[in-house]
Amino acid sequence: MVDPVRRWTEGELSLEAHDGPGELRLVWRGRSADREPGKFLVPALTASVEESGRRGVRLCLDFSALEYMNSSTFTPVVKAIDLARRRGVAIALEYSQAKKWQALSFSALRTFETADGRVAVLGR
Amino acid sequence: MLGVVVVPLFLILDWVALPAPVFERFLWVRAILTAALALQLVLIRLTPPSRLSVLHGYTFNLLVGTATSWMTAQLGGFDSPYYMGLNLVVAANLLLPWRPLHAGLNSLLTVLVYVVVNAILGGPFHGAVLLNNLFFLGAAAVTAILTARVRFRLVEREHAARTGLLEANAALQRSRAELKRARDALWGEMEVAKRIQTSLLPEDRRAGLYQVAARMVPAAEVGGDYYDIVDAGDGQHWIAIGDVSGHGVEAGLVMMMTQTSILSLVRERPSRTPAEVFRQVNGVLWQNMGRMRADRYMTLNVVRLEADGLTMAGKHQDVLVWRRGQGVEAIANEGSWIGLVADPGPRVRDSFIPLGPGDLALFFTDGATEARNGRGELYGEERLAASLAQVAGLPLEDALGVLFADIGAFRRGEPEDDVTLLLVRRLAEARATRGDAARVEIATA
Repeated sequence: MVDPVRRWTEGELSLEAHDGPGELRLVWRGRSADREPGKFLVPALTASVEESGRRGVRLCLDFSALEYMNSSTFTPVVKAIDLARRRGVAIALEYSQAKKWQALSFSALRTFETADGRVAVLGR
Repeated sequence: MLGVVVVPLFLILDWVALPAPVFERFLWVRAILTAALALQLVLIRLTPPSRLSVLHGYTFNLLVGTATSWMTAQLGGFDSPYYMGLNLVVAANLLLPWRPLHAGLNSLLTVLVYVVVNAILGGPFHGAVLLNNLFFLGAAAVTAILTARVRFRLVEREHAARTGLLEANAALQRSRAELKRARDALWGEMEVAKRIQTSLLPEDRRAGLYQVAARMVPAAEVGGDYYDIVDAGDGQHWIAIGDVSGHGVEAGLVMMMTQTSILSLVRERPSRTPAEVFRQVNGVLWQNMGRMRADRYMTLNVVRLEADGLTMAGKHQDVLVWRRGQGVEAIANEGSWIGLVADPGPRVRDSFIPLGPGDLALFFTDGATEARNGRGELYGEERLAASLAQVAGLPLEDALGVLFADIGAFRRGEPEDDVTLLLVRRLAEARATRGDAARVEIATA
């Protein structure tokens, strides 16, 4: 994987943006346990959606390396999905099926999936 | 005070420099003058400061200036060097905290008294000497005026700074008082919200063929945990459990809207399936949260208690099911959360968990599994399942007590999130029809 082109860090959580073939991959690492994570995440995710839109690539939110995120963290993620849908930006959420909490939580977001694959929730 | 001390002190000079008859007259003058100044000092001490306080300055100079001028006249008028004492009288303006205008007028008054008294009583004089004397008195007056000007500016600035500081302090006190009132009001509202939240939670009860017991331990602020046990009529019983994302009054409101919606729907038509109820509730919540502009969602399981198991819909935590001889099984549920989309459609389906007589199901919220110990480790589903296996034979209230105690012993400090546990035990059918839940629990132990 190429070096991250951009990195956001807040407390124990960091987001690394990587340029991949036809996609902007945002890798989540660490733990997200802040009570109001939106203050940090919404600007970062909004910027990533907008960048993906400008470049015409898919935005992939990769949670598979993430250790833990609380329920409040899902709100900015849902907002990012909604923003991507409105902007016509393809977005994918990747999570680890081997991690129980990820399988439990992210499978609920499959309700956003679209038949054309513009919104995808993928368990690896 | 200075006058009361200095005026009699000059008698030493008079005693040395003046002939005895003159000294005797001056002695009386200085005594009367000192008495007058002492009286003025008493008046100053007894009266509060006011705009008229400047009159004390004029009175002092008039008294001392007149006495000194008279004594000068007694010693030769304008030609006498005794006028030097008047420079001290003019210099007294340096000590008075007043405007330069008053310093100027007071100095002029002193000089006028000197000129008038000595012109009348002083006798012949040399013009050059008078000019010299007036020059020195004028210089002393100018010095007094300039000093008063500088001093008054400094006093004025200091006063303005002090006034500003006092006003800022008063504003700060007002802000603190308002903040305290707002905080008290907010805490009052939070307490009301928390009381409403917990008062909506039902008592433990028998629900048809099932015994149900639940308990919620709320976090410090209003949380979003929700559970309910509903007698829908027609022999139908429902339970529900969920967790609104985030905390605070808004999360509590979403929880209350969910409770009201579910209660209304299942009582209106008990034959509805859990998936139908979930979709209806989602529609209501989606609309209301949009109106509230609330970025919330909610994990929710809606469960109908059937004769041989649980029919459920929605997406929440796993359900831990203890079966005799089989241990604990974690059963995942698929679906959607409340409030993610306007209509989750076919993703929300009914699923069925079979339960035999004596089987026990545990529903919980993430406050239980995400409790952390001192090393930052999560309590986790595995520990909860192991704990459930230990208490499966106990009466439900006792089982809840042990489960909460185990979580509490693991967790460091107070709970950061609501913790809700809901136990559902299927009773032995034959005994259940007699409504004897307690004996059934003993039989399953």
